[in-house]
Amino acid sequence: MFAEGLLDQQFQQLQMLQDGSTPGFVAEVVTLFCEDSERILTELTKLMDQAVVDYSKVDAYVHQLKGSSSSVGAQNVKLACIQFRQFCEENNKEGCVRALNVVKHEYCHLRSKFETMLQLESRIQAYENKQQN
Amino acid sequence: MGGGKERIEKGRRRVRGLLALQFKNGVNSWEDLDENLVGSCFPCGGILVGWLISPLSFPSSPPPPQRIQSSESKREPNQHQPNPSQPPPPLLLPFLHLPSSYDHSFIAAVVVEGNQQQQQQQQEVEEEGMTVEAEAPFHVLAVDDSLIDRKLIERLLKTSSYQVTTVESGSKALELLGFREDQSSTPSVSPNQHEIEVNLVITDYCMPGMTGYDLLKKIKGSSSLKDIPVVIMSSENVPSRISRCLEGGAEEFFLKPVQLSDLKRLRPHILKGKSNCKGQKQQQPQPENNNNNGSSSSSSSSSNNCSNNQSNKRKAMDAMDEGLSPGRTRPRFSSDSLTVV
Repeated sequence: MFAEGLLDQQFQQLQMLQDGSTPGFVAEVVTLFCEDSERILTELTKLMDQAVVDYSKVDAYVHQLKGSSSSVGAQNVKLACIQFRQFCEENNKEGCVRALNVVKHEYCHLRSKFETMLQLESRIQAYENKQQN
Repeated sequence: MGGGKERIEKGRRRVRGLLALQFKNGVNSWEDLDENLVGSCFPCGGILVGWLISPLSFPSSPPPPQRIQSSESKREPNQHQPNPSQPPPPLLLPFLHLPSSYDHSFIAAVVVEGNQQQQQQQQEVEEEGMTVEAEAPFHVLAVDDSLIDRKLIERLLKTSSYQVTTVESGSKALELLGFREDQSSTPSVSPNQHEIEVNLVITDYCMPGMTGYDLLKKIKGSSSLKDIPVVIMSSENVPSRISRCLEGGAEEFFLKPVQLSDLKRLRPHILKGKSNCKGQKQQQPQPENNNNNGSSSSSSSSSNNCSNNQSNKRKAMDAMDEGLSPGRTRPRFSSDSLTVV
């Protein structure tokens, strides 16, 4: 996922913060990120569907998403958000609509990877637990 | 007796932390230790009754017990009787009153550890010393409207051994701090009225309602809270914003995402903040035999920590406070054949 540019080194930082005492930290953050992102994307879709787009609201949401993707290391999503904000500033509806689609696409891509990763991890964890017993 | 054992264990860890921090130059004679007796009570309930020095650790025999005990009983925690003919040795060895067989190996273990840790990164030990020692490790209040960022900063802070409280808004933060709009004449000692005591506030800049900057101004404008150091975080690198915050009284400005290495920059501010808040300057006014840039330490009953010239020296011990000059270099004492109890 790193090689593909989906995740950057911030994600590694997160992984480093996880230790024996906080085994579920990364999973928790990833899950929170996904929930949060979906909420934001839903809101953004609604806002962009309006006849007259309220760009300041849109921008506020994109800003949030950019922040959380940056905190989690979701590089492509973050970059897509930055693009999106550009179009917002220009009040460019078409650009915004396209940008939103890019963000969604990147997010979905990332989410499916995360899901695989978390599944793998829990399988590994279960395996390790079995080993210890 | 379970309770006693726990206290003993706590005391051990305390002494270990203390020694490791102070044991800068090693010790090679009994006299070195003897001069720095300070009697004090460990919060864990031990009573300091004298020195116990392992016969294994030092080449010569220990000083006679009577001398130890009598000198102990005369001492008060903050007093020190320096030997005018020598600079005060760097070491302070308080101990617990324990059965004698226990004592020797315990102190030996602590002395060994102090020596060994000398050679390692001191930081690590300071961490241990700080959190284990102080009944209340430094408490940071983190403010951020983003749940993910709150989780992250909480984990970062906890990993750095801080106690953390997170809130989602500036107004909640002020509530927790016990901020009152009309405060004007509160003394600048501890803001610890009915609310929690906080040693540092770290806040996001962009928040709905009250921004991090607004929060900063409120804190700095409050007589009871103004000494709490405030750090601002932002995902945006806007120089004017940064300078505005710093001018407004923020100690630091972190760019998000915040990393572990950034948190190291918190320490000097948190130490300074503590000593300001408590209004105490324990070590500073002892210029002549106090060489502060070494292993000097300050006594701490869990919430006093004087910052020294070198902010990376964290002292979280009880029982000592002065006159520990690191100026002397001594050969390192190495003993690697001691049993750890």
